[in-house]
Amino acid sequence: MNGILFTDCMGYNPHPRPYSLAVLIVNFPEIKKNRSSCFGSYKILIMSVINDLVEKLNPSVRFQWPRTQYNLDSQSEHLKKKLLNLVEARESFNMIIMGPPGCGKSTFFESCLANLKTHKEFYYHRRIIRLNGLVCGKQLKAAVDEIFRQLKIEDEFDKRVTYDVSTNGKGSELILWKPVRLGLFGIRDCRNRLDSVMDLLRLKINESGASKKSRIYIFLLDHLEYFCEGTQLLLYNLFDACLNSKGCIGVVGITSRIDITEMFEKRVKSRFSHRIINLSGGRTFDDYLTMAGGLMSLDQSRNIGNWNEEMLLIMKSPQTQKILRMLYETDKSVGRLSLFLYEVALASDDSTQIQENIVKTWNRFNTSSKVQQILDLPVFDLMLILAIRNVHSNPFQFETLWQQIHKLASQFKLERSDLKHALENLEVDELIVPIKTRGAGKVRKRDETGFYRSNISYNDMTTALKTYPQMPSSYQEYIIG
Amino acid sequence: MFEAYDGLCLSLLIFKLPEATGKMKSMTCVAVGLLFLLGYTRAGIVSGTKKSDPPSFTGNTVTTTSSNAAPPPASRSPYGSFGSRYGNPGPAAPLGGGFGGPFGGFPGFPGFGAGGNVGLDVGIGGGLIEKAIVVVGGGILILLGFACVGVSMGKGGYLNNLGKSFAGSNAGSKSRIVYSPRSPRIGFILPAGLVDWSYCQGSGLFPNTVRKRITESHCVLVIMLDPVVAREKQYHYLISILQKSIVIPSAVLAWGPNSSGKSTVVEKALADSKIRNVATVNARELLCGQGQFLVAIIHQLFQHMDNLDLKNLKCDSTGAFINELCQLRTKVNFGSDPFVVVIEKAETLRDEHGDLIEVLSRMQDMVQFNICVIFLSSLPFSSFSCFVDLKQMVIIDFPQYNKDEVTAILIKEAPPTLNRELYEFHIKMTLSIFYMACRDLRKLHRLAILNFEKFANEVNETDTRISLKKMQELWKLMQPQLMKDFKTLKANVIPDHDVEESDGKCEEHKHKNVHQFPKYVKYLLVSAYLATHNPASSDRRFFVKAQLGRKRRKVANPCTGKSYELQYFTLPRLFAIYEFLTDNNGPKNQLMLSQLTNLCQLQLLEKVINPAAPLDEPKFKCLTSLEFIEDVGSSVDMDIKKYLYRYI
Repeated sequence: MNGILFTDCMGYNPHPRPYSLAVLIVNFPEIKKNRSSCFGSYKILIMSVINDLVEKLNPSVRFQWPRTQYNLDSQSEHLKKKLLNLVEARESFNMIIMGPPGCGKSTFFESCLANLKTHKEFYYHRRIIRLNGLVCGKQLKAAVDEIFRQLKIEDEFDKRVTYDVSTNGKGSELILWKPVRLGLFGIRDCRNRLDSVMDLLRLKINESGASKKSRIYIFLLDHLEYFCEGTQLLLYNLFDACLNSKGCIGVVGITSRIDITEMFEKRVKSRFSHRIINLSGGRTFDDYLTMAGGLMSLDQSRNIGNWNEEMLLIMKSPQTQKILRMLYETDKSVGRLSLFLYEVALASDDSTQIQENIVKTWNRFNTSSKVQQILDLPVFDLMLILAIRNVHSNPFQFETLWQQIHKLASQFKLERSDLKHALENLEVDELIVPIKTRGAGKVRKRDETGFYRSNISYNDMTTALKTYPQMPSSYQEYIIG
Repeated sequence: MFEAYDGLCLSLLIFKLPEATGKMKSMTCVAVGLLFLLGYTRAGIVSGTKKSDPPSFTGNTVTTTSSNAAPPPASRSPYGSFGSRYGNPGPAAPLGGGFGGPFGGFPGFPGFGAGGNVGLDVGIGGGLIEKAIVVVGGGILILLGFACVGVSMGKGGYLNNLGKSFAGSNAGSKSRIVYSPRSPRIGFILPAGLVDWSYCQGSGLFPNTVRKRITESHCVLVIMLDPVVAREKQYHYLISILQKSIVIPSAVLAWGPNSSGKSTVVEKALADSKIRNVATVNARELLCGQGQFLVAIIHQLFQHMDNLDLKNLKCDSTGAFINELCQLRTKVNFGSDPFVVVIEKAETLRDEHGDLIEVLSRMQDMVQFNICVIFLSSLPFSSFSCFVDLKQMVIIDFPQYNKDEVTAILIKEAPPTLNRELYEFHIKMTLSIFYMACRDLRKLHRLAILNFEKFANEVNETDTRISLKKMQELWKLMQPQLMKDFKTLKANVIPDHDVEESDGKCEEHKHKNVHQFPKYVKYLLVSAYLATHNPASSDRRFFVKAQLGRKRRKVANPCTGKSYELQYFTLPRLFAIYEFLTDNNGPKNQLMLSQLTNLCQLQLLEKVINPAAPLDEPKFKCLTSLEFIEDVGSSVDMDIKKYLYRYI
């Protein structure tokens, strides 16, 4: 499709990676034209800068985009060293990158890889096989299929088998491979196939080991915990290959589970090198601020005016610092911060609006969705909330609520059945949760004796009741009384 | 006629059985299909009716079939209430009832019955229908009929699942099924969200032309609201998400209560940003199987590509789905054109398909092209948080419309033929009653339209001009009708004045059902209720006879109104009470045990077996309400409250 960044994964990674800014611009001349013509007038310039910022902060952007990582120098040095050792010292390794969701584990790995682009030998010989546990972790078959596909060895596989037949069994180890069509094999075949994949890998490595053109295979297992469900055969084989083959295989697992090594089987655990990079390390508030500043600033090489200076000023203002402090105290991760800043950038049209939008977005982040849900309720359903607020966090029956509000209900000529219906509505909205009886699993008819538990915190109820528009005065009296 | 009818009962009964395998069900589907035809032809010959009075059957038989009771009277009810077990009983039946909606009003076959219109009230109805499509015309109908049977054949337990999901569905507030016995031409209603058009198309069951005609049908009953009314903020936000950057976020969650304009805003924003590759699927389509669901997404995403061959597409797992997407994407050159998947009712994915949510929300990461999934949900993010991590989702909230906005929208949506001034007044009047209880825009709109005819008639009778005094009179005139509608509102159903009479029939039918019980079964039921609602310690007080030499103690603390716990009871306790009530005259255990299972099947009792100790004797619980049991008790001259601990 296009020639710039594709050399990177061409032929070895099946997924095209079409987006990097450079690629996009090369691909679509009209965009490039628009962009370059943008710099004519100031207004369009600002729009473009904001758009750049939005693109930079986009929460979905993963590995092809230049995204800087912060304060992870020592860890990335470690990883880089290991990766280079694959080429230079022919040392296989396995490793787990661990950290809470959103702390930038994938970004960390991908940016390390990207940094090694300058290393010619590594860059041209690496083959990266990316497996996602969500998709292929639970079934071995899916994982093997995926490895096959990504290695693109199907053709080669068939060729070798036919070759084998024609030369009358000279390549002795190749006889073991049975030509099974993709997708048509059961679990047993699946294991055979996994074996043959590993054999093939070893063979390739050994073949190329003598010459200079040795290939490196790096397996990246995202959501490693899913690979631990079931037989762990894949993990066993990969770790085993790491130990036994001379170099050239790197296995990197990415997970957010801290007890991942406890999930391993004994044979897997004994083959794991116990190298773990933990990214959940403490980040001080100052680091956090510099990170925020870094995220908001743009590349100087483009014509961006004094954007970065303005951003620096905004980041230093006490109002922003206060909000960022609160964000920091709830979640220190980069992911959360960049989502926050992304929404700020989305809402603003130029730099003057950013300050104001930081406050607005924070308010949006900070409001509880339960409050919003209560505010959306009709007046009659709200009556139940009044009663639920009084029972605090205890389990309650419809009867208990009815006892409290039947006087109030009679003012509106509401009957028992009306409120019962309102209770059902609350259950659909998951504001209250039925407590399950012992006969769980069966379709239970809702009778009025079922117990419920409130899913809303007391504070949420109070704030919602305070802000509810046009609340009837009798409700107010009830609350005070 | 009755043969066909019995056959239907039978086959519907099979759907209920959890043990019935998929194959069996699909066989039954075919049987049903054949029976339909049989029924038509026979009825056509036998009755030879004119179109004015189509004979119809009710689907409301399931509760009685197990005891082989006489078939219920063929009422005029256009909405069968098969759902009396699955859905809400009673008033919910007309629309939300569930299985057994309108299917009837088939124009007669040319050879038989000379244009007689035969109604058959079995079909897919009620609760699930999000956007109903009504198709007019005989030729298409037959095709559709086959297509429908075909779909259910392919899916195995599809219809069964459908039935199950009715129990939880908050009976389609978006759906409006227009069915009237007077206009039998409107005959066939298919849930657009459920039947997978592209699947039908791909499998050759559904010719392209028919599909086109369906989508272009002028009877699509969905209110299209202008999203710019009161939804500017969300609209512009979505637009900036879609347009400000080349790559759009991988997942967006738009949440808000029902009919708060989520899908409309998303639809318009997508159209305005000229995104062509859009797939809109309802999460409930997963009932057709995950494979079909994923294939439907791919079909819709690549529908503008002519050179792709999608017919033999198969996605039996999410992994295959991702692969297919990647491969198809390499075949077509869209540049950076974004792909968007809109998932409606995403909250239903949580129960069994949590993994799917996670995969979909990270899809961009996996396939590495510009794809975005927009989840529409009526629940906020906090309900999803166990599946997806927050760092990836951009959240847009749709608060409910306030009263002014509702008024504005309803007035804007007024049918052009109506008298403006009058309609405005009418809307305000309707809202003054209903807005307190219901904020669902669609329901309000429907209510307003429903009552307007009557209202306008009143006005015409009195005076064409409206003065303040007249308004008060009008108010008084309309109030009873509105209050009546208000009562039906609580059943989560949009009241339809056409089906009121059938509503009454349903009630009556249920009532009749109770009185059909044999005398001793009634005693059994009453004793089950007493065993459930009285603590075991109080049994001696009620059920030990004075001859045995013990005096009844006086009750010190009346515990009326206090919360009490329901008891699970064992069989010996039940029969002890039963024997007391029947004075040892009733039939003994063996006979009554079979009746007990009957009661369990009717969901009047619940049987519980302790999973930890499955060999222990089973325990039971009575599920009926007090009113019901009082009714039963009065039919055997018994005052229940005398025996209830909490009423002493």
